[in-house]
Amino acid sequence: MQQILSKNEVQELLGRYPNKEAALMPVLRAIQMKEGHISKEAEHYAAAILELHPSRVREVVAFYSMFREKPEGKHLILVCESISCALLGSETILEHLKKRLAIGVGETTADKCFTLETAECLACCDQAPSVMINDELFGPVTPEELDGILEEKMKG
Amino acid sequence: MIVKVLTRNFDKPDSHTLAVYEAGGGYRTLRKVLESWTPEQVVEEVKASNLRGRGGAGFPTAIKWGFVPKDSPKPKYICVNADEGEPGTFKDRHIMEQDPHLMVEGTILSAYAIGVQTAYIYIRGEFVLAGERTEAAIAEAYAKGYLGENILGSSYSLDIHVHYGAGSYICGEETALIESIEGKKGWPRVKPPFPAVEGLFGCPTVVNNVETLANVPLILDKGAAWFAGLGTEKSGGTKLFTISGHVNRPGLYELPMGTPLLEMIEEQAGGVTGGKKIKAVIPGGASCPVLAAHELDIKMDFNTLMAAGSMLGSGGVIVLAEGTSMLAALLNLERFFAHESCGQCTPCREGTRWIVQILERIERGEGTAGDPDTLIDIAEHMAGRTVCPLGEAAAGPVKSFVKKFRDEFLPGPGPDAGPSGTEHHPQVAGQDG
Amino acid sequence: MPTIEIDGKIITVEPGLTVIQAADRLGIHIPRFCYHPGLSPAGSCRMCMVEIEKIPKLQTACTTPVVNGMVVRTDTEAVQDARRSILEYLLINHPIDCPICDKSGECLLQDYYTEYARYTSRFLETRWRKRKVFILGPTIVMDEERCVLCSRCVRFFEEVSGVRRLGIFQRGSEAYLSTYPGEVLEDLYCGNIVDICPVGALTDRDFRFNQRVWMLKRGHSICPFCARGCNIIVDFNEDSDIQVNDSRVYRFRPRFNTKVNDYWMCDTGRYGYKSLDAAERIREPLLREGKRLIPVGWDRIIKRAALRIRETLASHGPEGVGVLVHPTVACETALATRELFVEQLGIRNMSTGFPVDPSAFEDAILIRRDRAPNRRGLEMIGMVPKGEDVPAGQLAAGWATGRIKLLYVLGDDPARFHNPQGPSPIPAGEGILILQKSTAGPEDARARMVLPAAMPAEEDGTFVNFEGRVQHFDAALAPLGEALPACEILRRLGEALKVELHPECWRLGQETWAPSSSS
Ligand SMILES: Cc1cc2nc3c(=O)[nH]c(=O)nc-3n(C[C@H](O)[C@H](O)[C@H](O)COP(=O)(O)O)c2cc1C
Ligand code: SF4
Ligand code: SF4
Ligand code: FES
Repeated sequence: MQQILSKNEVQELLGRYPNKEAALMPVLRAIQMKEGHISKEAEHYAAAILELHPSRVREVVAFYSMFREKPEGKHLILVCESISCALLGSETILEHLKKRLAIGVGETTADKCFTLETAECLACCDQAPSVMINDELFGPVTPEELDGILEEKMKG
Repeated sequence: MIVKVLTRNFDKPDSHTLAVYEAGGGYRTLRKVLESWTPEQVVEEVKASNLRGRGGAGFPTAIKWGFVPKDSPKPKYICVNADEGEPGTFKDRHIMEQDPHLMVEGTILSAYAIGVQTAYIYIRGEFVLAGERTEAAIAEAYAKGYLGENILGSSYSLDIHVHYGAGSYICGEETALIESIEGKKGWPRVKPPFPAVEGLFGCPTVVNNVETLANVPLILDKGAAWFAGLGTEKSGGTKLFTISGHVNRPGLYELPMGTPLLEMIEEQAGGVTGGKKIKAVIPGGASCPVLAAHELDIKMDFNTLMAAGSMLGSGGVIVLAEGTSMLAALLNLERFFAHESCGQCTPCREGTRWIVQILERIERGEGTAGDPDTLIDIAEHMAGRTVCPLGEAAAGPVKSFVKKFRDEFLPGPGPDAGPSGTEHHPQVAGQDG
Repeated sequence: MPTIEIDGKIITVEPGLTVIQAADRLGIHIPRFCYHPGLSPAGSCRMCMVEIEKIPKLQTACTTPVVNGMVVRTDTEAVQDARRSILEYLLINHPIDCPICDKSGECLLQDYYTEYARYTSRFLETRWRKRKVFILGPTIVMDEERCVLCSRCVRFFEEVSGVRRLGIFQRGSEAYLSTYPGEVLEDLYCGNIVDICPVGALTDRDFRFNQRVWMLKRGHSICPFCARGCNIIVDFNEDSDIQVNDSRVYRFRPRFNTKVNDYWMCDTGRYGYKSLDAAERIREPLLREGKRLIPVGWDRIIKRAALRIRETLASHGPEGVGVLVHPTVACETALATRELFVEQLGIRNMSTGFPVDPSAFEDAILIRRDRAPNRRGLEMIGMVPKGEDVPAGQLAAGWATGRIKLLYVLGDDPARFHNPQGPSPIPAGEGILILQKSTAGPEDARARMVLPAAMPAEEDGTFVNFEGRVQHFDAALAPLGEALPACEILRRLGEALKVELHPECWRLGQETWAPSSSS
């Protein structure tokens, strides 16, 4: 089996908890940071190093919405859909992005540049409507501003 | 009236760094307490301060700590709930981004009070900057001897680990949070046993909100009486209110407990956008029953809102201006709960989906005269019958929205149901249409 | 010890028990889906809510520990209302395909619906569509639409069989039960999840569509396939009009016994029911004519067997006759055998066959290395005459060298069942071989006579399991074809040999043989 994380990385994560099982979420997080998503092989890998049945790992991957099961675009766009952003027009933002990128929610552009997703409240209601691209928050955004941000990302 | 107590460092440049925190008197309290206070004295002081939990339920903090058995041979844990996911709430993120050391010092002091050797900070997976700054603050604290073995030369030792969530609102519920730290799905546990007796890894555990713990250094620094005096008779201190929705200046405001709601909206948040009237306010985050326009003359504290049939919750004030479709707003909230239901227990799993289906049908223009009663009945049969309070949280908005704005859930165009009766696509955003 | 009151009835129970367990003891059935007495409580279906004095909200009986002085009501309007609403929540997305559901007749959802539910649906939406006939593994098929997500099956694998083979994936109403994607569900204890699934979500591919459960009769027995002796229920149908494949028996299921098998049994035992109607079953007495064994009547075979025994005794004395008893026969059969052959005919060459295979699989759950159900029973009886021990090897050697001229073998060789291709347990020999057993085997080719015996589910008897637990069983159904209970065969044989075998001789003495209590 391919070792996705180094021995030291695994040791460091295990050291935070009194048992191996508890390191599952940080292990999955670390795998996703390295590989962009969590493949079936990665699930088996995590199961093996933590001595769990793969179905236990799978339950966790499937439960948490941030664990991604397939590769995504270079930039992940999360549009907050929750109430405060919705009150200020997140629907318009989402519709604009769908049109602009010509993809639906959960899809990736053909050039693998962008993946479009919706998110629950990002705790940025003071900047509604807000959008998160990779690790960065933008808000309040207008469709025009978003176009500019996407241009930047495509260049960079 | 703004009072800068918790947020006193927020405006300083580099407020998140140890240098700035220490310059403002940071970790002075920790030194004092470790040198001359017993853990019992800390608990007593917090008890006298009337500090109540800021995570939503408003449970008196010192009393919660008191449930931890003193004589347990097992290790004890404290979990800092930084999973802030309640729509309309963004206070904990601000604390972590702007003054993470306040949370860290509060955690150390509370851990000392309870006799804890290991603490976990459960940070929402989406919080990138807050996570970075918290991790950096912890590293700085270790380097300075505020954490680790024999803190500041005392006999007290504590480790703090960060545990990231991964996109699940239910993990903010304390037992789901514990399951999540244990590496499992966020399925809340059946209580009893309560975490204080059997929590993380089967050991006595206290779960506290970030804001709750951030208050602790202030209480121990300036004294319980000072803190109690900032609030109401039953609830000490200031409160971080986050105001969002149709207001001119959405944002985080630190205000005394019991500040009138209308004052908050008008004076702090600059009133409703476009000079419109207020149609309704959700006073404490998405799971709190909505207040109609005539109910807004109210003081914002735990007991007053409870008496009014709602909750202070997490202090997330969401303002809905006239023109907002209550149907669309409720559908938005219920989609959230249906999406975040862990799916473990029958009433919540099935009820939230059913509610969404009915609301969608009404939105399609296929509503029936019986729908409002069915919605209320489904909600009433969820509340109080689920494993965790999410079922209740999902039910509260349904009951209050449908009872207070019944017309909008009946067949035919309601007052704010969107343009004419032909096309029936009400937008939540009442502002522009 | 806490004393509590449930619906006006008082009971004192040991501390730590939950309200549902106390109610079960009182015979008060609190409806449940996720609770199963053999698993840890989950408290998730919310069906078992009851009213407890001084607690404002309804509480789940399966997770609430009893407290001294507690007053519980299971029959109030609030409780009924809660039950109705839980059923409504479960039924809105349920296919209600009872007419084609294999669980129909033993489904909790169906039972409770008839008992508590409201009858007009107010569900106007579209119901969930999920996978209907999803093969989980060689023995189990899943219907996702019927699953109520009680997690009993998940907990079974986690807590009982020890490997977490199933999971509940996704969340909210999208949650579904499955194996790890692509993984085939295989486990030595799989069948149990069909028993405990409260609805028709998990069905047994073997049993499926063979019989409607309300057509089946049930009897009790002991599983004969290893030394554990799991207590079982035998589901059968003697009405040939509605039999499938001319079979009488359709399944074995575990019967609760805390001291032996709790609520469980292994799949070997479970599907062992097939041996009862197997093509290999011997249905009539068989007598050799030249190269063939031909069916004859009982009178003829008994006479012939008696004749051969008498002739051998006359010509070679008791030394010329050997008796081999497999540890698959009941204690009663063993006693009758000893009475007839040892006490009355003076035969000393007697031994038990089928030694334990040290390489056989065993686990810490139920399955025992010793695949014979009654070795301990034969030991307790002292099958081999005291002081003149004839080990199996010696008996076999006597037979192989021709010193023993007639060998009478009782019982089936368990190895045959577990390994049909395995070697014959009886070495080649020139003498007269008489077999009394229920299932054909390779040794039949050398037999002069085969006397068809009943299988354990078809006769009364007693097994003693590996722990020394005495377990009596009554016949669940009549023997197949012409087969007879073993003791009856021996009685007839005795009669023909002018030896009266009174049933008293195989009655087990009360002190040593008091059946161990069953729970
Ligand atoms: C569905 C649900 C979500 C919750 N989310 C949070 C949360 O994000 N942050 C939080 O501090 N408490 C949350 N809580 C409340 C916690 O269960 C718990 O009461 C709180 O962390 C206790 O801290 P406190 O006593 O300091 O308020 C949530 C509760 C429920 C039922
Ligand atoms: S109420 Fe909802 S979120 Fe809470 S345990 Fe039940 S299904 Fe899960
Ligand atoms: S398959 Fe049956 S036992 Fe398993 S969770 Fe579903 S209903 Fe429960
Ligand atoms: S049987 Fe008690 S909650 Fe399911």
